[in-house]
Amino acid sequence: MNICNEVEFIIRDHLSEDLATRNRASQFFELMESSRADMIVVNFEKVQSISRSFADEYVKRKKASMMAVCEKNVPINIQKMLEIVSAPVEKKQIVNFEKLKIGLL
Amino acid sequence: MTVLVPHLPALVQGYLEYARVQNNYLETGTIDLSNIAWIYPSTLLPSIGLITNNPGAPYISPSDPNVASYIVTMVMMGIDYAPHGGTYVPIIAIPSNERELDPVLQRLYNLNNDGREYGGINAFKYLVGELVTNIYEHSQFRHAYVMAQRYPCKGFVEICFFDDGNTIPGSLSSAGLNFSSDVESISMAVNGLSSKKTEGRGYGLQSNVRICSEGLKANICLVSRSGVLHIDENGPKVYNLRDEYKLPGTIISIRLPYPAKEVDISEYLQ
Repeated sequence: MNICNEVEFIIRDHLSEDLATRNRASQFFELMESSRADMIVVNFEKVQSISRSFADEYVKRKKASMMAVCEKNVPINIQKMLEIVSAPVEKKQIVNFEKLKIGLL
Repeated sequence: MTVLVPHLPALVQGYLEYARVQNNYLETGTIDLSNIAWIYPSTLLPSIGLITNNPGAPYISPSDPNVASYIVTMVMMGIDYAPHGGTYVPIIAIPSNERELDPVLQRLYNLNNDGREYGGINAFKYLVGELVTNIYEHSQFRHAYVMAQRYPCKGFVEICFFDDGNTIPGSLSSAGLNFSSDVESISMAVNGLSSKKTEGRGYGLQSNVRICSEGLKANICLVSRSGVLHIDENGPKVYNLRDEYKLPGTIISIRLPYPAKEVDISEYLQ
């Protein structure tokens, strides 16, 4: 019989309702990995916001993890961000530096 | 080509107010704010950095008592102060230990009503989250501050981030990415160049600039070492600072309409 050890982490309780920095995502994965569970459920209940950096690190760490990680109660804005970082597009040129005159202050 | 510029955007002028204070300090050893008649965050935050990095320096407060007491209020209130109905929030110090950041950010969000009038909760928190991430990842700062100041009668809010760390050109240069000028380095960072060469990097600053300039119709000014990049609805403008005006750090100032309508940030992230 194969017994799977599943643990749920309510991300808001461990971090915040606002998921801001890349390192905090990393630290969260270290915490989850220390549980030695085979299966992790990340509960995003009541999470309000997520930065792109946090989401990017979360997705990368999830891909690299030996554990199976899945999410539940993911708010729409958080889900959108996780999808955006999973399929990055080419960066847009905002400043065409060669065309600009440089002022001296 | 370098040219002299007659008309400067307000955020650039705000930085130059500070640069003159810094220049005077380098010449006299005194931090003299007596000539400042009106102080915006883009002047105030680097001035606070100058004061905290030079604790023994004599300090002359602004001669206008209103401005002087404003500075004392902003500096002395600290993170535990909650203004009632005021239009200002205190300067928030970003903790050097990132594990202590979450309650600090919560405080900042609460003081600003979660950014509801600054383009919505998502836009405001995204802006703060990304810019603070950049400070931790690239700056190695001794001091870093953030503040937002509303000017309801003038119809705008100014949000500023300051750190006295590596600078954008310094960070890129450490990764072997060197350019002809500091303002070119800043421009490349805004275009998505990152000192970290892994995939998925370099989107944060770029998306913030897009959310500000395209979504919120805001003005954004990045000053780092001797480069200044200002972006508004008319596009980008770039400046070099003379040596005595160089900033030993980075300041990102954003001036957005107040109240600003809610912005769907996902449009600017892909």
